[in-house]
Amino acid sequence: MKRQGQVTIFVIAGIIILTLIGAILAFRTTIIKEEIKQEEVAPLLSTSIQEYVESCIQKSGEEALLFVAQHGGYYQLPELAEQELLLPYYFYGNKSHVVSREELEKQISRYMDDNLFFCIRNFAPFRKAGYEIKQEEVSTSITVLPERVVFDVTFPITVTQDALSKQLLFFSRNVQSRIGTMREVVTDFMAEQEKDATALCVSCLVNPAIEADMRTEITPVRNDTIKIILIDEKIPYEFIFLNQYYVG
Amino acid sequence: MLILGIVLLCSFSVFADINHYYKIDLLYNQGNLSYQNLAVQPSPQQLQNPEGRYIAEVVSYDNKILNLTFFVIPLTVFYDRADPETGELNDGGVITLQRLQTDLYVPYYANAKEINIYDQELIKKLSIDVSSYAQATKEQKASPAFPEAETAPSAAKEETPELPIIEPKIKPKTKILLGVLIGIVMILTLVALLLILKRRIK
Repeated sequence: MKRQGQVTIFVIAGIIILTLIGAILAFRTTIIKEEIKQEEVAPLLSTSIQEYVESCIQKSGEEALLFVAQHGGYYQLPELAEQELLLPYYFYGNKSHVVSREELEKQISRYMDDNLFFCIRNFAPFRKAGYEIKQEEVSTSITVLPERVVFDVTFPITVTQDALSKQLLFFSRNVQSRIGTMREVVTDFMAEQEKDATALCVSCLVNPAIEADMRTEITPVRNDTIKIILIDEKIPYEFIFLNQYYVG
Repeated sequence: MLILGIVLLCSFSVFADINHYYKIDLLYNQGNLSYQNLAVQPSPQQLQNPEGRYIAEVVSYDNKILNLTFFVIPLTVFYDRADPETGELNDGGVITLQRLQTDLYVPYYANAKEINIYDQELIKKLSIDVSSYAQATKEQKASPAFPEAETAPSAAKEETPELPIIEPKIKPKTKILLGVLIGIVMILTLVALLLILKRRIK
């Protein structure tokens, strides 16, 4: 009887040990599965936010380039500008005042810093879906290349839902634009114009523009001032500025 | 020369900060107003709508009126008809449009919650939620009137990229499963102990 009882105790102890091992194994498997799920979800969430922000950079970038080109390379006009036409003077007092590449990049970045928010709209669709999003200041770095403009945006964002949290910082987009080439064409034209400041050198503008697949429109706005529009035939942009000539 | 120089310098004004405006693509349809698009855009100059008897009222989070813009919906069109042979005007009249699309520019306010549009009889014709364009200052964030996480439940299209759909919901099943297993082990242990006790009593 004693032996039978001992056997029973061992069998029961065995069952308990086996059950505990099973429980531990099952528990570990569940943890691993959840870890895999979290790893899958985190990049999915960050990718969607990344895509959302980058599509806004694309949209605001295109708007920035249109706006800046239509105001002679400026988001905020310089002192040497015409108040009613909202255009800068590129040739004034027999001197060239073409926007420099650095200034052009600065002006585009200012536009992005000021206006990206209006596309992001406080991440309203994400908040609606239950995400908590903290955002900080936008800071944009611009590189103007001959055929495109690179927008590198530093925009610290923290996205949280339930216990899941993700931080994003850098975003980048390329926008097709020949605003850099346009500025180069105008710079070359102004260099020629400075050599003889008494009259408008039409060929100095038209010839390099044609070579770059662009066309020009010249309109007098006052006795001594003309408005020049450089139109890109490839990507539809208009680069507009004023030239003032001394009328003796 | 000096005076001329001063006059010229004065004519170049240093431009103030860029203004921002809500651009509302309004649709008038037989007395009803709706909007198709809403965006905020910068402008280096003051944008003004042709004045009229419609009113756009910008309201803040604490229900203060921030701005009133008077504008017109140009429904009346005057026309003249000329004789193609003689070139003389021989007919003319007035057409009243029943359906019209027009752009309305309203100054942007960082603490605006909505824009209400009233007709000439001061009857509210449209209310536009602009809360998603609001920017909270430190003071506003501290105020309970500024719901930072509020979203824009607008029916109209706002110019924002499509949101990729994701549903990252994880249910905490682990604890439940562990509890059930521990329970089973405890019940088994109890049953085993009872069986041992019964046998010993016999």
